[in-house]
Amino acid sequence: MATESRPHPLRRARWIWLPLAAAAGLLACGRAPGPGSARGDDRSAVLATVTMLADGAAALLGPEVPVATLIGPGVDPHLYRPTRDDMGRLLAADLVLAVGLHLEANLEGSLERLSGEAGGRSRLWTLGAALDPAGLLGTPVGAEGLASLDPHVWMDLPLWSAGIAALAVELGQRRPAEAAQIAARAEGYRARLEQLDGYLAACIDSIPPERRVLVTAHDAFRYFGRRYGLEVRGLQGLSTESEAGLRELAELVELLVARRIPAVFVESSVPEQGVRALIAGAAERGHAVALGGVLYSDATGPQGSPAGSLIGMLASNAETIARGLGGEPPAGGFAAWTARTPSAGDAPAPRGAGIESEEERP
Amino acid sequence: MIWLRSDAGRVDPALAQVPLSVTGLTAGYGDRPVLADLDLTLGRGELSAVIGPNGAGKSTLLKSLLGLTRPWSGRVRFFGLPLEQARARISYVPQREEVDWGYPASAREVVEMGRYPRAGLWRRLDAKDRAAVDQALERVGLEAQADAPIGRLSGGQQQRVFLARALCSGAELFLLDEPFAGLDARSEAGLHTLLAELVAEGRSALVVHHDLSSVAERFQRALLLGGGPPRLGPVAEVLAAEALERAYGTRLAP
Amino acid sequence: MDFELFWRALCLDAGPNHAWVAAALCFLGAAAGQVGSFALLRRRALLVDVLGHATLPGVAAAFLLALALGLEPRSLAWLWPGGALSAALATYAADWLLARTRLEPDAVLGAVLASFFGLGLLLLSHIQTLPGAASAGLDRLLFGQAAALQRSDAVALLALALLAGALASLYGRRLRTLAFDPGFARLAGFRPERLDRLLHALLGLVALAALPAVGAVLAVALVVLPAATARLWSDSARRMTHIATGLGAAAGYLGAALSRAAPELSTGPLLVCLLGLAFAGSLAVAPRHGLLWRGLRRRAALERWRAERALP
Repeated sequence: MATESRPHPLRRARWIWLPLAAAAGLLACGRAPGPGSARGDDRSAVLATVTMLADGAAALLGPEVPVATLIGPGVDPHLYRPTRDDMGRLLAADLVLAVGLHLEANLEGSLERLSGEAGGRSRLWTLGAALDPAGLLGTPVGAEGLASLDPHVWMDLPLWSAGIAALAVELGQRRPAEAAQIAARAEGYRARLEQLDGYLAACIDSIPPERRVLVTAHDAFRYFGRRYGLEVRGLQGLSTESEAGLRELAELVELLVARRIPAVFVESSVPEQGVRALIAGAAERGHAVALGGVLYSDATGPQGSPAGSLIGMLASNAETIARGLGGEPPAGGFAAWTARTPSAGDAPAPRGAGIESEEERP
Repeated sequence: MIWLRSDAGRVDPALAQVPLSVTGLTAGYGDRPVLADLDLTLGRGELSAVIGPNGAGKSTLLKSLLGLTRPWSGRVRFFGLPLEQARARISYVPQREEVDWGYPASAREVVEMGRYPRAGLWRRLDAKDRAAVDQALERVGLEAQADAPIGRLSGGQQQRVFLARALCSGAELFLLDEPFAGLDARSEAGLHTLLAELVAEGRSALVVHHDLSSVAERFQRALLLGGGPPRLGPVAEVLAAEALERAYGTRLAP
Repeated sequence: MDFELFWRALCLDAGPNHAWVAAALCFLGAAAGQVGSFALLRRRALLVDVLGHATLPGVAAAFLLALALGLEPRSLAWLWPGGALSAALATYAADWLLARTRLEPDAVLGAVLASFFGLGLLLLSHIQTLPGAASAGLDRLLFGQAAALQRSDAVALLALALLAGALASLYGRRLRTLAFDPGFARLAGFRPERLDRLLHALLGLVALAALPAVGAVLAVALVVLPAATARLWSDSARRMTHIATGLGAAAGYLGAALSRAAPELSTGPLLVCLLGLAFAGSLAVAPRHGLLWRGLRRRAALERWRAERALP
């Protein structure tokens, strides 16, 4: 007898997988507005990979030139993988600014496509390449050379200043009409950073000498430590891609207990479990370690918050560290400090380089 | 669609001595019926065969009896009881190729499985269980191979392991699916002798058999499935030429 | 590698963190080895891979939901149930496809794994673009962070190991019977569907428990390797289970000690490498199934054979 075949199971289940597929498709196409991208206008004059760099570029270029950021605040640049939209933005930008030194590890392939460009000028400018290698920290020598250098150069203000100065020169060459203004803003920014440098030193100096040990989730603060006299230990290595080893963790616990360090710190863009294990381990050995607070290591805080700029994040870090380890930052914060110690240059504080200028950032 | 009638649980005291009683069994796959209104009884001490071409429903019959597939309708009673209450008295030996012979177990360990149902969830196997296992192994002639991994046993030995398992579980009704397939003549003869002995001791066996040429010498009664209505009876009758022709679709020598 | 430190670690005298990690990995290894044996016998080992990878979309979705509702998105209180839910969904999808289609089990499990994991990665990449989301913790779920296990983790894993042990000793016989002969098991009244559901639930628990330690990608290794290694050493299903449990526990303990003494070796991957070495070694030298002995036995047998027939 003839038997009718039943409809194919996939067809019968279409009420399940069709909506699922549709949802997945919608997700893939749509995208939350990324930081710094104006609705409907993906083409930027200047696109920086990280917020610290965008901050500097905005300070140099002034409020009329939109500076966009690829990797948003609170996101880890070591692990960031570009999406299709990101590729589009990278290729559409006139100029892309990157820190380099393998900070944006997963973007390197994409960034390389921009450097060998026709028309004379490369569309990629890397801050790391503009720095004098002698000033850079790194793990001692393998045959790898550049691969082991520490990329967290924004933590060392003179170094970062030098980098921004180089950026100013580059921008001046690309935009000759504005060269003079860029130079003026660069000088103002440099002066501001110098003031910040003094403030940060004052914060750290307030910590009793035997307590000047900074323990965090990964090795982002070595430049900071070198500059201001802090011993710095991270749980993970230079990149958050590595997983903390048990030996490193146990040795850090030893350190915490032996030196009676009062606080450890988590980072805004790195998971906390490792640091929590440190605290638990020290507690088990009878030494109470507090969670000193959140530090901004690889990214600024959210836009519009006090830590949403380079100056804001570094100031916040120094204050958090100082308080956590038993010191006291200068009264009134950085704003009061700048009032008390006027900068060398007469140029007014450039817009976009201060804590209170978020509304100019596109 | 006809579903299983709700008398699935009723006990039939009149059938208490009848190992297997099937009435009106109808079963199939999807929308295709394979067995229709089948009646079958098996008495104590009987060794009967189920024969027929591929697709005739031999495996379907076994699977329906064992509750491995759901029949569309019909009533099946084992010693007057429905399957749920008669589990302990039935044993099933699957086709050799359906078993994973690479499984890590010795002959003894497989036979031990026959004691698991009566041990329940909590009780460990005790001395009585072990004795039953040893006896069963001896009865089927496998005491020497008891600790050999099952993958190393010959075809005939593998079938004996299952028979031993059935024995030590205390089963009185054996259902076997092509047990003689793939065995050489000597193994087949030996296995048949063993089976006949076990049946003569008061048990019953229903055997799905693949080989027409040996049905007559090995079995007294047979059930022929296929082409026309099922024919159940003494082997000679069932093997009459026209019945075979209808079932197998060709002219065959008797 | 500091051998004195290694020895101290073996004696649990190397700091509290190490003691917690050693205990946690030991219990996890035992549970995974035990449950993994049943999974292997029942030919469901790949399901753990599916379960591990399928937690990702659930975790990411829970993260997004918590964020939308204004709750702390990184809290395990909803990330775990989210992961468990999507893993359960994946199991259901796989079972459904296996039952209703003619597709090979490998194809079904591979398809389910890939689609769930892909969806998870998609959600992760979306999360990555959200400002201030501090989503890096979710990446850790892919690879785990065994070194950061604490006392509470060790206690939870002990509970898991005890539960697995209890269920195995209660239902082990039935599961083994089912694995060997499903027809017999059904006839005996063992209810295969329920036993399979129990096995899947246990596998899911183990996969979830393994996430903080070795992550989604490597969870399957903890489940499969001890069982596969044990198979090489035993021809009895029951003994195989015991060996696998012991092997998993020993590897966990040893891995923690090694990771404590050797510099810069991540604990989770080290554990998996140890298990892999154990498997490879067993493949070579295990008495019954190892290649070495098999080669020797063959040679001896061949010589005997020739001698019997007086061949040169």
